[in-house]
Amino acid sequence: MDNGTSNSASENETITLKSCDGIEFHIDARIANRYTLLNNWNGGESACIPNVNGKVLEKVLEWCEHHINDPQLNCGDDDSRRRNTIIEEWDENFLSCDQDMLFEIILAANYLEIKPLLDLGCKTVANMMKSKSPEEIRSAFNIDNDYTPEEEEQFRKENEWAEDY
Amino acid sequence: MVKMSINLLSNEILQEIVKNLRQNDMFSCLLVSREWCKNTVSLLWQDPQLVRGKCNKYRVLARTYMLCFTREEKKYLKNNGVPIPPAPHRRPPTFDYPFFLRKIRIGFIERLAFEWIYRKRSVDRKGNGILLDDNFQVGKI
Repeated sequence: MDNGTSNSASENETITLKSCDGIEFHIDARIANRYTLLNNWNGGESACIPNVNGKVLEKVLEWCEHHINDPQLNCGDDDSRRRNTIIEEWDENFLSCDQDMLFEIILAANYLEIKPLLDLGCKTVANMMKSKSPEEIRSAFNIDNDYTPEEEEQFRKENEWAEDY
Repeated sequence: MVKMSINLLSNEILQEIVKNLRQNDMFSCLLVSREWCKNTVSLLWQDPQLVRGKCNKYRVLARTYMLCFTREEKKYLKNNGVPIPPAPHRRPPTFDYPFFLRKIRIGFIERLAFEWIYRKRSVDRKGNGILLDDNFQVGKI
């Protein structure tokens, strides 16, 4: 748990953020303290967060609020954390939105440097790809196959050691 | 307004997604499209993991590595009685796969060599040892 020693904001303090389409959000200042990039747009008056619209920012802030008391992880690039693809129930429900919104949230989390939300989004997409054939992945995410049949055959052969193990 | 799609995510984000996948799912990812291949191939090949007992998997992995050898290396192996796999359609491999290797497990290369050389029964078990390690220009971790 966060013991608050490095957290200068008190519980009642709020800051104002504005999305790129002009929607204002008044949020607990402790959120902006955790994710320093949010602090850059504190002020509301003229500053607004480019590239993130109100609908997406609302979701991102909802997630931040729910996780306000989570312990803060310092490990920047921990493979074991990432490979653990178990997602807790609240987060799973939170991200069971349509694909467009899921990708918007991932982009916003990346842009705003909210690493745990970015990881969560990436895990969610990875879980959607698990145990699927290449064709199933293409159709799930609307991706075009741009391999020539010869290339695909050669490439499959070069990599077949990794198939189904 | 541009319709949102997975194709709009950056390469960095696509790689973050792929890092959550197991090897067999990475295999599917590779074959999705060139874009996905680009973001998956180095992750899949940085630490190939094979299941004990599945000798055939070692052979197909050894085969791909051997396709990446230089002409001189292949000639050397051939002169020592090691069969060299034929390049499909006489085309070079899609990638220089050994380049991606970042971790080598104890006995990994020996096992690859063993499965390729001895299981093929092409050389005498008492024949001269061949140092395949020279072909993998990576630092051991």
